[in-house]
Amino acid sequence: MRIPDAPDELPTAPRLDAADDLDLAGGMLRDILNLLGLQGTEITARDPETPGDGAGLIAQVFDVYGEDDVASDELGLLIGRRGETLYHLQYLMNTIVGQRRENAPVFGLDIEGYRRRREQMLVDMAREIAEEVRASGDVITLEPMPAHERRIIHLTLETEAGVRTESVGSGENRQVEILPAE
Amino acid sequence: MRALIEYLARALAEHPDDVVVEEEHDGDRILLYLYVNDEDKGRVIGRDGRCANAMRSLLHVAAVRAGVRATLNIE
Repeated sequence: MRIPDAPDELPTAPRLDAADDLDLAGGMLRDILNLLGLQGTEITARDPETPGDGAGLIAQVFDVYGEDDVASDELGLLIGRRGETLYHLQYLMNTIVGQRRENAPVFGLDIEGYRRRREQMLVDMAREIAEEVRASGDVITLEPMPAHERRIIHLTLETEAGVRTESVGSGENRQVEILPAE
Repeated sequence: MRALIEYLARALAEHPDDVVVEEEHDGDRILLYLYVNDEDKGRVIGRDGRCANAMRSLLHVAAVRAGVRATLNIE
């Protein structure tokens, strides 16, 4: 599904008469991109597919891509350092939809495939480190990660023989430990 | 920048008509002052300031694109 492109005038508030929750969320995303002057972008909605998409937790993922190289470059700023701005935007979108609609589902957001790439990197890293843990018998602690990234590590190694995972620490310092299976 | 913050604050507020954003320029710095209905303060700031932080994060994007520095004060 495609979210319509920029109107001539800047939006002043979300259109609360949107047909459904997906329309409301997608329309807001389009409004915010327009307000940021990021008009040359395409927004599509799709089913979540992987743990990183939040499969099982979220209703639909919005993919945002630039229509050309310039627009793609500009979207980098909206991803932010380690995806921080992307997650902020997703949080605002879901908070607003949740306030306006009863029992609204949660939506995901990816920009220029950032989350997909990050997920692949985390999956590869988890498998490599699991191999090391199996070979050495040592416990290896990963760098601190946000909850949805730790979830990717846990789910990746759930089915790997010879290792198990645990989270330690709290808040921003919460880290995954990869341990030899007992 | 002001339009962005107005939009987000109206979207979060129960009283969108009470949202006012003032803009002050100081060289390449832009100061935004957001006023909302008292009942909406919590909603606009969010749990642990998460909505305020998210708005500041998007404001930063707008500011970088415009080549200025911008700060948001919630009054």
